[in-house]
Amino acid sequence: MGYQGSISRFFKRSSKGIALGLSVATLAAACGSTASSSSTSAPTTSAGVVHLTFWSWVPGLQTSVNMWNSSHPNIQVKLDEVTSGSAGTYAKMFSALQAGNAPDLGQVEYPILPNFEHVGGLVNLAQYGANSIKSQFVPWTWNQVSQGSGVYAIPQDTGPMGLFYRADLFTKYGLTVPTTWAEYLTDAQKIHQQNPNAYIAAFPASDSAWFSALAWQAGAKWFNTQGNSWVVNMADPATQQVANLWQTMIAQGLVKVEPDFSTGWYKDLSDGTILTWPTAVWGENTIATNAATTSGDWRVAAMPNWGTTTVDGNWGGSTTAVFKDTKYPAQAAQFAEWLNTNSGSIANMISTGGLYPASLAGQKLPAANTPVAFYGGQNIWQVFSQGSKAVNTSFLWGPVMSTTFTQLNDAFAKATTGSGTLADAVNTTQSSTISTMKQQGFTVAAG
Amino acid sequence: MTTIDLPGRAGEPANLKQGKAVAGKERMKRSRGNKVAPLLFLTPFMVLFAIFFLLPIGYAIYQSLYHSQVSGLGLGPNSTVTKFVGLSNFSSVLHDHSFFSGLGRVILFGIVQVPIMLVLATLLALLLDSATVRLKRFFRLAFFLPYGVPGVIAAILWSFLYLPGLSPIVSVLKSAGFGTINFLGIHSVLWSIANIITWEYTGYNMLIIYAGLQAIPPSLFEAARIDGASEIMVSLRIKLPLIFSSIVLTAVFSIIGTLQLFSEPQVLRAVTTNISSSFTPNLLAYTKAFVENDPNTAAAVAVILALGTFILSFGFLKLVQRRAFSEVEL
Repeated sequence: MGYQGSISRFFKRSSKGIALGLSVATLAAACGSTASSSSTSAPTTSAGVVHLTFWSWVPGLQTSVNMWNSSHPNIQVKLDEVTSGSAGTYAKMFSALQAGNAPDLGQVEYPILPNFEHVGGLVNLAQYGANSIKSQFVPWTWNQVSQGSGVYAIPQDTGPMGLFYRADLFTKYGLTVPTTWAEYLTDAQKIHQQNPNAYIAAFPASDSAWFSALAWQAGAKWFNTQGNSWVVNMADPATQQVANLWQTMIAQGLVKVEPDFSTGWYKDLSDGTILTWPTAVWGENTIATNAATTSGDWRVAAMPNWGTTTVDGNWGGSTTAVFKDTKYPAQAAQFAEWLNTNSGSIANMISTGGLYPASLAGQKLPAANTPVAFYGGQNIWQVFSQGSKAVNTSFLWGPVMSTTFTQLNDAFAKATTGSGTLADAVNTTQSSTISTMKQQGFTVAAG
Repeated sequence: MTTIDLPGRAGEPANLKQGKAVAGKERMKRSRGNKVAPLLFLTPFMVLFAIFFLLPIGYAIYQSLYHSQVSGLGLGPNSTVTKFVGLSNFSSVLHDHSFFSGLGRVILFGIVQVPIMLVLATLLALLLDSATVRLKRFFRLAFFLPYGVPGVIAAILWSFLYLPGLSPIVSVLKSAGFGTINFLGIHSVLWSIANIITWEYTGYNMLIIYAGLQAIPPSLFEAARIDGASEIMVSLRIKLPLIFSSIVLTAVFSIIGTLQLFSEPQVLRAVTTNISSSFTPNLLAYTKAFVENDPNTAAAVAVILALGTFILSFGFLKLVQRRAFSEVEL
């Protein structure tokens, strides 16, 4: 099915892994017991050499690790290639933390970082000089890896958003590229008037991470902390605005409700049923791979905006974190910083891993700054490097984000089948997330 | 009403008991000299049984009694503690609306799908067994073949047949004037899953029932035919009562399978938004454990589901026991 061949740099669809019809009793129990035996964090020193273990799923990362190992003979990193976080690695990391044998370093996506922070699973890297490299990264990423003066991970890659659109069909239907969401709605109506079987976009009800990126762009602030308590404000005006727009388009039949990254959706991208996809930079590869026949037809524009100021959202991206069980936190921190600031390492991650770096200098590297033939020779990266700088910096994730996404997915599924609206779904999720947090013992002040 | 003494049932127990008694005495004598041998033979099984069955179940029960609890913002190394919470995980599952809607869904599924599948399986088995059918071997294999397709693959195959725009079924129905039928709609998706399960398991159940038919001595049919019974009468009055215990067996398997419904809905989630994260109890347990990182609640769901499965399947057995495993009256 829609297994992303490449990477799940974006946080979503945790359930995409191949499902086995295991008996439940063993299934639930396995979660706690497997990791304790399979995690291999055994740092041993021989003649002053420090050995570190690193869990990551970024393709081709071994090349970066090799560069480090050859230039740092006394700190040798062993890379364990694991499945993407939401496909099981996070579950394994959490169990390993509980068992006290987590690896030294690991790949963690932004929305999940607070989850790891709240179980006390991460080393505060501020004590190893992390704050000194703060200025080298896109500002919002630093806000998401830090809590107060503490720094809990080093940003690696990002997913600034842009509007992918079918330039050929825009000409055919006589449309202009929308710069505001109001224009987007008008375009949607024009398309549907001319061809009832064509839609401006799909609404992926089962992918609330995508929705969160749009809310982020609109200026939402779902989570925040105030003193010793969490503030949850998922139903804020910015989010309502986004929910209402898509609700209007669903009600008027201007968008097609279907899961993204599914067979049917790929087909719709290929045959002109869907004309746009507001998505992150890595969507470039998704379209090029799964709608290969449309080569030359797509272009990328900046995201439509809600007002006159240009603001962008972000979908996906991840960090390098140091786990609490490491015996060599200083060396691990040093590696995490090097991995994401060294230009050779970043260039490798861009070209073989397909990442869009969080490092400002990295975004200027030729690997992330050349025209792409599939997009008619457009240098699409310029759109994203512009977008990256305009990403709203105040958006933060909550401590039970995977549960929140699941709740929002389920609520959206209900809303799109006729019971309630998307705005209702956001309200429902607001209260169910608060109750989950309270049940786990968090102090919560409703926003 | 005549009572037929069936071989292996009413007719034999007397001999069997005698035989057992004799064998028992002999064994008693021998076993005094050698008590170790049976233990030795049992050990590999017992060890594996303990490691892969008893231990995980025990661990699941243990996990279901604990819960991790955070305080304040939840930051810092000591803000999260795992506490013994008794049965509170169970009570939160039993107060969870989504658990019951999932359970209700699989029970409704079972009430509709299991009888349809078993009637189909029985019919196919009787057809294969009837004297007039040609190409028996071919059909036996053909009916059984879907079972050879792994469940996940079957679900993927069917998802292509359900997807509008890709599915030949949808386009044929449309051109035949039925309109665009949505197999993946909020109300239809459960029955589309039922169709996959029926396709997959009818052949398997047929084979069990067919094996039961093969065990019936042919002399019974000859006697019936001499008495003037038609093929249909032989099927209804002789074969069907005699394979009832096989049908009960397939029913119990099907009930257990239905309650554990997981892979088909999980695979179809990729193509439709109408399957929620708690669509079936098993899917809920999966979501809790692997999406929400809450293995404790997942363990509680698993334990409750295991108990429910136990009660339902044994309840069913109890219900039909007298009919299935006592003397058969014709």
